[in-house]
Amino acid sequence: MLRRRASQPATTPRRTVVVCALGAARFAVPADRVVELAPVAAYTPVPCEDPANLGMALHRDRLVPLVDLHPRLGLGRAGPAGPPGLCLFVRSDAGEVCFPIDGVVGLAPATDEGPGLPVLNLGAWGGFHG
Amino acid sequence: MPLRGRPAPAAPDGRPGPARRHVVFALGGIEHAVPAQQVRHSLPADGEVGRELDFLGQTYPVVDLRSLFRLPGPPASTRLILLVEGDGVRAALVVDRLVDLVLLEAAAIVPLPPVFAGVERRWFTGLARLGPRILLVLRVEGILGAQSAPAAASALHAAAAAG
Repeated sequence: MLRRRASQPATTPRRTVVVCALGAARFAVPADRVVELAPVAAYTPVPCEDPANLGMALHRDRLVPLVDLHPRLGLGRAGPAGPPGLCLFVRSDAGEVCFPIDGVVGLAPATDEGPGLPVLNLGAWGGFHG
Repeated sequence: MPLRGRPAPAAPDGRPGPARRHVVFALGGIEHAVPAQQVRHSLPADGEVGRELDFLGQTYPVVDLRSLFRLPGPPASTRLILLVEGDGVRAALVVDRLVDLVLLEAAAIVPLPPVFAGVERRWFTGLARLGPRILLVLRVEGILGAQSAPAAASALHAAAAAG
């Protein structure tokens, strides 16, 4: 039977996050949830209760919900002004979603304490933690 | 504008499904579809539309979809009223214009993704692809039962905008 020696430190799996920019805000997305980064030229608005849900984008023959992260980052609501532009596509527990961002700042290791940035919560898909 | 009956693309898995004819109308630049069998008549919406409309001895409560969905921008210069009936309940839906008449396979209509978790799940049966177009398929019964929804939804939007 294999036993870890008491002196051996427990290893924490290193996860990587993608650091994104939206206006002046920075936030992190677990890299293993990122599907792709791609421009979105247009979308179909869907009237709905949550103002963060902008509508549906047709991307690579897939219908993907388009979500505005401004309200969740406390940046107010930018609104669906013009084409979404650069979007990050991610796998959430509620299915694939995409959201407009201004750019990717870089990659960073995530520790249990987080990278010091709000981390997009893709489990409940409702906000940020960290 | 003359309406053309033309089939929508087949379901993603290629299997034929029961197809229903849908009336496609535009509202705020967004295309919506409603089952044609629920549409009784269409009328031009000249001038101010009241709260009820009498047509052939039947009374139809007027539902301005632009107002219900809180769509931005001014209403179209010419509008249209669709008289619809679902589950024995009638309504006169005020829309911008008719666009098309299409056949939609049942399997080609996909439900709204889970992120859409609000009152919109009552308003829409789902989404339908029509080539590059995305149609919002209206649930007439949900629209007719949603008269009290705008106030609650507007309050949510106001709170979000404020904050």
